[in-house]
Amino acid sequence: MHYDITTEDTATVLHLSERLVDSDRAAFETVLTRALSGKPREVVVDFAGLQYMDSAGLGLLLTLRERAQAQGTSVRLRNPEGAVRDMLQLSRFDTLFRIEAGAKAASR
Amino acid sequence: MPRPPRGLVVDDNQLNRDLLEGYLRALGYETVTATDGDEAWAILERDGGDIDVVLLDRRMPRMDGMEVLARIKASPDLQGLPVVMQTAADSQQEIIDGIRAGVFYYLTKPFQPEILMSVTAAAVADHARYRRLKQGVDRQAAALRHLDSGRFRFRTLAEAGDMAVALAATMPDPRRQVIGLSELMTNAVEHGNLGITYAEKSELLARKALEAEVAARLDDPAYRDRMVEVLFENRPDRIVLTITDEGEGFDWRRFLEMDAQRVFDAHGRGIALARSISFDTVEYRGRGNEVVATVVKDEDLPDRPATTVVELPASDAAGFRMSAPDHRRLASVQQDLRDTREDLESYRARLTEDLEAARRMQQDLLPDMAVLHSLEARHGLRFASHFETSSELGGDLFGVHPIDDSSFGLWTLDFSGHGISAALNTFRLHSLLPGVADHRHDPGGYLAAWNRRLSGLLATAQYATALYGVVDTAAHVFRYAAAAAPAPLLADPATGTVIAGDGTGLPLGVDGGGGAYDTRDMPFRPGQVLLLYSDALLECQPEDGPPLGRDGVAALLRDAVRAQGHDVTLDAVLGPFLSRVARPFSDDLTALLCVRHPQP
Repeated sequence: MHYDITTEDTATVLHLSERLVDSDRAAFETVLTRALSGKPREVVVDFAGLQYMDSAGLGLLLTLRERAQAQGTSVRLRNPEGAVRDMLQLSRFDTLFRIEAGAKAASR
Repeated sequence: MPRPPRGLVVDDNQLNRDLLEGYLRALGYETVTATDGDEAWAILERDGGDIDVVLLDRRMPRMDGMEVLARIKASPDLQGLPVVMQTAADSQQEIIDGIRAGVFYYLTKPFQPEILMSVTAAAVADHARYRRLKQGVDRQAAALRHLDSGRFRFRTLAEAGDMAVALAATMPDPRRQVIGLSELMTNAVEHGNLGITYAEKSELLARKALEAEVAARLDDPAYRDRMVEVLFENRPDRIVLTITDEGEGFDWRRFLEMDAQRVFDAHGRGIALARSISFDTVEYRGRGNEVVATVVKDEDLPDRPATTVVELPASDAAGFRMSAPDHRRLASVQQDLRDTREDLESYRARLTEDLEAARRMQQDLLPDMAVLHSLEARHGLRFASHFETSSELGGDLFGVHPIDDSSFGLWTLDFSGHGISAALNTFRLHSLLPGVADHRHDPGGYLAAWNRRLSGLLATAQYATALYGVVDTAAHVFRYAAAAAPAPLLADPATGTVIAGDGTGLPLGVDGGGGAYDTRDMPFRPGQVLLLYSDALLECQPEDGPPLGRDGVAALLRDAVRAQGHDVTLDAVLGPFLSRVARPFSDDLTALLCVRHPQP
């Protein structure tokens, strides 16, 4: 997993790239803390550079969601492609998160 | 006339103690008994030198057999003492653990007298050799005490042993110094003249090939003319030994003290041991092919207490000289390491036992063969399953249960993660099964019921993917609901085609448990083949390519069905995958195959 954190208006944007898998568990903890610090109104997770996510990656997103909810931050997912989009669809994560496609250019 | 051998029998069971004592007496041995590990250790600490063999029960209250064993192996005085471990006949893993911990003699219960006696006699004979070395030292003491100076040369390990015994006899405390002499002289042959590196020795020991390698190198023209030279000087205040080999030297600084990275190695303690218990100073010179050891002749020096800590003097670049009091610090460090190692080893032993017990319990959660056979007979089909965990414990589970004359339920479930936390969840889930039995005919309702119950039990980021389905052999249909599970696959041997169902659904245990699950169906006719599996099959990466993915799994099934028709085996389906993936897997793998008999 590689990541980058930027700001868009009142939202913190977490750009994930490469792969989100079980071995990223520890690193993701740090990412979470950074993305949620300062209690932004919204955290946007941008999957534009992410090629692959396994079942452990879903668990990490659930952790993000719970932590965010606890401090009143909403979570939006955007730009899932290919295998990542399939994974989110298989797990019906659209019932848990707002998921947006497109807007790739605008987000960078 | 030598005294008869003496055996220590350690067992918490009175009957076993009496039995073992009886056998040992029949061998002509004297016996001592202990009822648990604490008592055994007290006897060994006090009288260990008079005991020739320990018959040790593995499972005992208070201190168990593995811990007694760890202490014996960590004690310089006792580590040569042979231990015969008694264990239940069916516990292969216990025997493997024991061998790793240094037990080379085993007895299984119930005892067979001939085996018990032959094993015990072999153990005692081996130990007698070790004892002879010490007795050799004792006998030579008088003859060589007056040696003033000398120069000796030797080549082989056997000669090194003889030389160590002979020279130890000249020293103030031969039984103590023979250990260090033997270590330094062995090093001079193995690591010096024969050029065996530390890593090579580890590897050779692991393969039990050290002896053969040493013999081969002693014959090798590159090494066979190399000699070790020992200079002995008896000075008024001290004895000085200089051992020089003809090797390339080594980075000796690392080995002067034990370090935590090496406590679990099979060797590498010799120099630190020599330094802490045998000599007053040990000094390597130059590139490390010459070592000078001294023993101070100070009759007033009290026996080195193991607990006193004194400051270590600064070392200089040319050598590393230590004075007598440093023994105390080294002995203390050594003792601490030994204690730590004991604690770690006994902890590891307990953990291994616990994990093994948990693994057996987990296997018990899987469907009973009798239930599978009765469903097979009742519904005219056959099952095959593969269940392989990534570590001792897994987070996968599957099950089947009867419903009525024309239908039964089957399910697979995969908790996120693997290892202990995932395994605990499988136990939790299993305890929920009776509570959802009302929904067993209704897949969507069944998963919703699981979901409600699991939501309260699972921590964040823990969830389960699952598939629950009902096989209806009257309507020829498989009705199922899924929670983010891999899609069920259905193969038709008549056409050689595979179709995939739909595994979409919210994972179990998230979002407060309010999720609903659609019931879907796919045809499942006589002669057809249904495959359910966990995502390890999709996600585990073969050594020679990318993960299979959905299309890859479907291809596995299709190829096997085309080759074998409705006689297809699960081995044939998984074989091409299993042969390409390194063990252990990165996740738990479950696969469940259900094949309906073709209609007559």
